[in-house]
Amino acid sequence: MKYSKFLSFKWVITFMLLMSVPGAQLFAESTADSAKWDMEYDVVIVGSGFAGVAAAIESKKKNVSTLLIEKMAVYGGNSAINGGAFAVAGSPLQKKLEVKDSVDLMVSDMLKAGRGLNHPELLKIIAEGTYGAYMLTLEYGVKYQDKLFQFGGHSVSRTLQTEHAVGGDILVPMIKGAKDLGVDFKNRCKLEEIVLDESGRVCGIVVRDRYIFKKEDSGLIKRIRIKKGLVMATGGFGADIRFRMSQVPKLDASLDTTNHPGATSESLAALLLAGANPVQLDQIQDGPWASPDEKGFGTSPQFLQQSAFPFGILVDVRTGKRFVNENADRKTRADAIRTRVDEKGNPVYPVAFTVEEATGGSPSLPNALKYGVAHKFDTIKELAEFYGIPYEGLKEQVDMYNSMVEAGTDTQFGKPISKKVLLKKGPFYAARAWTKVHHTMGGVEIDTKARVLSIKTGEPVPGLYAAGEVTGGIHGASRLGSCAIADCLVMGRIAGTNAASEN
Amino acid sequence: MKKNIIITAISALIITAIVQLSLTGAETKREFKPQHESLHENGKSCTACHETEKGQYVPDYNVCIGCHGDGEDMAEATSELDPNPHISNHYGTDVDCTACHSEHGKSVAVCTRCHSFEYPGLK
Repeated sequence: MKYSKFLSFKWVITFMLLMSVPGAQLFAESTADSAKWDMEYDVVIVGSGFAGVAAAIESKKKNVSTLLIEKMAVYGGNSAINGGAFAVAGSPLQKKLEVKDSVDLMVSDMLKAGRGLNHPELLKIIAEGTYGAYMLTLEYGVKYQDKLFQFGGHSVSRTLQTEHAVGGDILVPMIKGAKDLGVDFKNRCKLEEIVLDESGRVCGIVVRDRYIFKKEDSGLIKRIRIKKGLVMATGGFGADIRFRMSQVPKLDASLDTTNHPGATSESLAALLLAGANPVQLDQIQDGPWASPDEKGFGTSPQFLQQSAFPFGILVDVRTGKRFVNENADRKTRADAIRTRVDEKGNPVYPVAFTVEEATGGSPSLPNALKYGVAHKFDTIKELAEFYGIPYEGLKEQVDMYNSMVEAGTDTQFGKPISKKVLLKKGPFYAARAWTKVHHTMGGVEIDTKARVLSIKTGEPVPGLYAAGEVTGGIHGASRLGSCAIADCLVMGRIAGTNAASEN
Repeated sequence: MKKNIIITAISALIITAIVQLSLTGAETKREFKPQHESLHENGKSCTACHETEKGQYVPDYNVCIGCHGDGEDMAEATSELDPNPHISNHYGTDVDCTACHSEHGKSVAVCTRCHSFEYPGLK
């Protein structure tokens, strides 16, 4: 009974809809008529990672109505799953441990890794802003481990890491803080289009509300009027195989990514269609510390990056010999790892290992061991047998490495020896390494105020801001580890403040 | 002009019929899970969870927590699971139920995109 009633109701509604709105016009109308808005906000932020949430907080602090939208069901994108490592130039912990660092030194490290493709004025703003961004996270209750890390390519120990070594440690309290401030959050809400008025200023966006990821016809089209500014904090496109292959064809589907599945290119496309200038889109970073023995980001990046690479060795399983400075910048390491292939071009996964005393910096190791990503061995011999490494070759390499550590200089590949960790006493912890698509350095051009610059004029597109991985030119050819959180938090804050300050 | 209206009306009627027939077809194929049977009367009442009779939009978080309690309650309820799927260092307890749970399809835990956790009891 109930069922038939509802069927007839649906018939009437559908019939009325079709009578009143000739079908084709349903969507075609969306951009033309700016008078019809479903809601309005002073500032809208697209994306809920570090950059988006930082922008939302700063915008709301200016007492303007602020909406943050996220297309996925869960908030945070890659920021929620990353390692929570944050490079801060001149942190209180550096002062306590008497590590000499400066904004200029951080800038020069980033420039070196970026092979000079970086836009230096943006680097300066970011390095300068790290201290303030770090203090902001403390304000929201973020907790860090009481130690400093020297990540690959950094000339000093300047990386702080959150208590569980997870980006969520920063994001969860900051999202709560933003909600408490009065920012409206909307998940499953996907940006379809940026709407410009006749003068070329951003006046709104078209979104697909109640969106179901990958169902492109799901949800409802809604139009949101923006009175002040739009902040695009939509992340990179590492999980978008078609688009990344259009930039770098060899990054095909055979390569996994550390990114969440929503790291796709459509928001970058919306920015370009609104007149933004694409910068270095083919600079795509392969993370050199990923594991072929798990999907996605997983548990290996921490263990390899913070334990086995700096305080152990990475060897070719066919010889037992090292082939790269395990603590070089990511591009150097990833390029070297990708050369470990057989005559048919198939990967021959190298193995990295270290000793117990170096595992303190890797909270993910217990899970890596539990799920077979990492393995524990009492002796080097057992390790060699398990991975099929020629023992003699490996032993020779281990002895040589130990004597270099004793001497304090890696004469083989020039790895900085910051701590004397010898590979002598078991147990040994090991994991296979391979690369996964990790970070897209390219994106839209912004200035130091996070304003998106026009491809036509080089001038800001009025009302349009961007921050984080969707922007380009900051990290150049290779982003240094722990500089993404720095970039996202600093530029996100700037974007949020400036968008909210528009007239 | 009058002729146009008639043509539109007839076309609309035909399209309505086609749309409704295809929708009805889809509805009969829809999967339901036993735990919510009494709630939706075996698929007769979409509005038990959805806002509309068509049920085309994913139900809001607040719909689920009306019966199940919120994220924190769920974290407490599953505290014996290792790791507890309802609280994590990535998302805290602030995750839409429907990010992992699906009434009309296979439920997949978001965390298993990267991790090899197993939740045989996932409904």
